[in-house]
Amino acid sequence: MNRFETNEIKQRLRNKINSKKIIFGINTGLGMVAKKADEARVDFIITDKESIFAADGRIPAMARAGYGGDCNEVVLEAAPKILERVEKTPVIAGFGIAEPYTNVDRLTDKFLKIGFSGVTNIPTSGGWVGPYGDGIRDAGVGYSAELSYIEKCSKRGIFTIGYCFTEEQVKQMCAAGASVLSLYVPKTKNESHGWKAAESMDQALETAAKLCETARKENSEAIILCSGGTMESISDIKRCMETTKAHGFIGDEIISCAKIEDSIKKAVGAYKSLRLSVK
Amino acid sequence: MRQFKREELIDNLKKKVNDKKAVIACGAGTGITAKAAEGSEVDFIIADITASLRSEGITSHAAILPYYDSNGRLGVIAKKLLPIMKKTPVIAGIGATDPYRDADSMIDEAAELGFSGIINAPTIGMYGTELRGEMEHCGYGLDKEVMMIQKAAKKGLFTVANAFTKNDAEAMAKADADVVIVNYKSSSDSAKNVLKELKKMADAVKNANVKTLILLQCCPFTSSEELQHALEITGAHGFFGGSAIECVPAEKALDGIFADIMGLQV
Repeated sequence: MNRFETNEIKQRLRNKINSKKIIFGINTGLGMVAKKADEARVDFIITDKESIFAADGRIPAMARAGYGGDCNEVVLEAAPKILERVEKTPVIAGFGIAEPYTNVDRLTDKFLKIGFSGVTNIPTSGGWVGPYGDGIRDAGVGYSAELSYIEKCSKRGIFTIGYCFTEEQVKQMCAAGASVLSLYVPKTKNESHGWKAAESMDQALETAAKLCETARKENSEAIILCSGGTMESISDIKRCMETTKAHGFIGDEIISCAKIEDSIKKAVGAYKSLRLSVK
Repeated sequence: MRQFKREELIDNLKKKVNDKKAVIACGAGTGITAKAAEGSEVDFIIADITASLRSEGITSHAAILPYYDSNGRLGVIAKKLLPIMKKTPVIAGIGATDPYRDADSMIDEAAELGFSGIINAPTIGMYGTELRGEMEHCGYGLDKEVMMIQKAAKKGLFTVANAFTKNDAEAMAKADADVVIVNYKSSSDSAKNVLKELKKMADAVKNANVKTLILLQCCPFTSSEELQHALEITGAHGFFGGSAIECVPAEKALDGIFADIMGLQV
């Protein structure tokens, strides 16, 4: 486990941009995935309650319901299982900002002390729509609290990834000074994430492209990544990069979990034809 | 969650054997693996410390280093796996030589948690000859594991036993284990020799208890051709795949996708 300085991570990402290589980060709550990602030299790993839920075979969106424990405690518990599996990769903690019994500053320090190299606003209420989302927003524990948190951390020199779902949020997140922007591509199916889905990939990419364009206008130096989307193949990710002109992509837990599931099904499938010769 | 009765589980396995189909069991240490195993219709899942470690990216061998409380994990594993299992029996790995836990109570705990059976895992067999001898000498030997299997069988639980020698295999079959997994660990032996050793163990089980089913620990035979051959030579009823099913293929698949994405230009 190594904790990386904010400047070091940013420089690494800038070098990638300059050499026209994709920036690639992943969400995971599973040690096996973290180990393989580290070997593959991915640029960062995000560990959050949703990715831990996915590793447990649960629908990630359920991590936002009142089950399975306080998201921050859940991440703290999983921390050594991820942090101790990697050597070259900064690990970013998904931080729940609105937990009412948490001293946010102290807990942030604790996350950094145990080896996380930064924080991100996951879980986020940024994608919540409808009366429930409005209620969270009006209560002051919604996206505005996430923005204040990212701003505070950025001022302290902590590496931050800001998740945004709307053009307005992109502008606000730029103002808050997030080190990296993670702009959401709506999913087109497998809506296990719970956010509003797009009708087609074209539509999803168009939405994301607008967010990227807004980010570039707000800050020409911004490091812009896409996240989410229903990415079923490399060509989907490639197409996403071409359409949005983002610098890279954050592969959510669904990508690695789908790979794990496929591989096990294939392995067992190959053995189904075995026949016994015993009586 | 579905807890299987011993009779039902055995009937299902026997049915498969009568149809000349190989019984396939695999390990699972985390929900996503267990879900995929169920989706693949494996016959049962073994949830033990080694599978738990593998899902965390840690070698199975670490299970016998002094860093883990393997039996203490049982509750955590149960919580992760059992609620999402709809049609697959999950077998609990219990270490029988835990100096702080009574094996008898552990059997009851596993049944209460919802597991459909037990297996002696971790097992003294993992230690290899020399260290195992010392453990046996101190009274922490295989007989404790055999006793645990016997007790669980008497309680009417489905029992799976790990065996690493001909004597282990025989003792477990005599203890009424429903399934014996024959393991043979050697990095230097030829495939032919490994098969010979596995056959000796399989024969020992058959001679001791005709009702006991025999599964091969499928390493080092992982391709279906190799396994087909191994089943023919040993006369086993199927195989158990730990890392060969739930770890190595997954790691390869992750290597592939990460390398592909990292290679993209923007």
